[in-house]
Amino acid sequence: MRAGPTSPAGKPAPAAPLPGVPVTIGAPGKRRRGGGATSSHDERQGNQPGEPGDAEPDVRFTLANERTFLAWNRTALALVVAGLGIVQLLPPFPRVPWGRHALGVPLIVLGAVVSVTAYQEWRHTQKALRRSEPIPQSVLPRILVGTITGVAALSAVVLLVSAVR
Amino acid sequence: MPPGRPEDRSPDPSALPEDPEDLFPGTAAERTRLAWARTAIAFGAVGLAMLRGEPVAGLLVLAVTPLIWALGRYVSATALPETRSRRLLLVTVAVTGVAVLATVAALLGHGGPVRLR
Repeated sequence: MRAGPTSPAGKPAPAAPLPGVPVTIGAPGKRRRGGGATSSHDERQGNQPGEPGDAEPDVRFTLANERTFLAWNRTALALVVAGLGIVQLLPPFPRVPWGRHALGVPLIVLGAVVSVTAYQEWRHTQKALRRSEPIPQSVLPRILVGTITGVAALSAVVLLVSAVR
Repeated sequence: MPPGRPEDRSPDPSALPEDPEDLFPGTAAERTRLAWARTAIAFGAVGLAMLRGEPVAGLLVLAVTPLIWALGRYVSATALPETRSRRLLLVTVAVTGVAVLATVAALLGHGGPVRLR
């Protein structure tokens, strides 16, 4: 995991609070109502065991983090279905019998990787919120872009091989 | 959404918050419940899609759908951190399980490259 608390930390204090911008959520200066990590409608949930001094963050940040996790998991499910669809629904490529599996199985594996990574990032983000640290940068877009680019290039190769000869 | 739901712990009405959501914090919980519902629907769609090619795997995924739905119903602002963590871990386990089922179906299913016999 490349993301560390260092990446967004160097940002100077932004001019206007943007509650929707993830990077600014955990910055200590962005807390509303005089900087309390917990707001009045927030339940005090006690400290994490073994981590004295960490208060539970504003519940809205916790819920936003949870929605991000769920969105990544829906993306993971979509990748799995896409991979399975390629393998089972496409007609075989002429002269490339392995073509459908070479394209579909990486997408299914990517789905599993995205889901597991999303859970890890949810935990790291939750920890950063609890400590009022900057939100770690997500590696998921990078993983997604890399794999999908690879699959796209591979599908071009499979199409060319099956069409040209 | 109407105020006064059980989950709502609205702040002191005399204090005017700078964020409108401070008046109705339930909207954040509502959005999260909807996100859980979308996730459950996605599970259902995946199960139905798998049902045609792999009936057993499809039924397994469909069986997980009400579980995810039920987890979403119990999204509350007051959940303990450990409870929340376990619930989300369950989602990741379910999605990873679907991916494993799909991999097995892709490799062993009819016309797959791996033959058991």
